[in-house]
Amino acid sequence: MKNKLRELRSKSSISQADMGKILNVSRQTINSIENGKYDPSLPLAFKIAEHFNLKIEDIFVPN
Amino acid sequence: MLNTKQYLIEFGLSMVLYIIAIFFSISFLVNNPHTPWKVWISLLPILPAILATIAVIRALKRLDELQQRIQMMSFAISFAIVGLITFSYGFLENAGYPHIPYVWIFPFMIATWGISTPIVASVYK
Repeated sequence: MKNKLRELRSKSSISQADMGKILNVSRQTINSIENGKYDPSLPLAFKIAEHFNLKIEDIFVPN
Repeated sequence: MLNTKQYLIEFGLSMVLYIIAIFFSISFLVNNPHTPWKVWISLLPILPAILATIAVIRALKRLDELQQRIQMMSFAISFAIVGLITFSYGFLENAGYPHIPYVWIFPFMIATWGISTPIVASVYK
C-alpha cells in the first residue's frame, strides 16, 4: 500500500520519533510505514487517521 | 528492539544468577559426586534460564506490532534452521557420526534467533 504519512507528518512538523510516541510505536515502525515497507494493522491505521483528522482511505491507498 | 532498560536489568540479573548457579552446580557435583541431590543440583541452572526466558517474553509483549512481526519471523527462521539441522544430525548419528550433547541445542537456537533478527529487520528498512 502507498501512504501519505511522511507528507502529513512533515506538514505538521513532527519528527518520526515524536510520531512514534504519539502512536505508541517505535521510530523504526514509522519509518517502515513511510517507506512503504510495512502496512500497519487496522487499529494503528485508525490511530494515524484519527491523529490527522482524516479517513484511513485519505492516507492509505492500494498500489 | 529487545534493548530496553527494563529488559536489560531483568535479563542481566537472570544471567548473573545463571553464572552463579552453573559454577555452584558444577563445583558441588565435582566435590560431591554421590550426593542424593545430584539431579536437582544439576538442574539448578535451569531456574535462572527460566527467569531469562520470562524476561524475553515480557520484553516481546512490550514491543510494537512491527517489532513483534520481526521477532516472530526470526523465531520461525531459528525454529526451521535448528529443527532441520538437529533432525538431520540425528539421522547422521545413525550413520556413525559422534553424539553431540543436547545442551548445545538451546544456545544454537538463541544464536540463530540473534543472527536472523537484524536480517529480518533489514527487510522493513
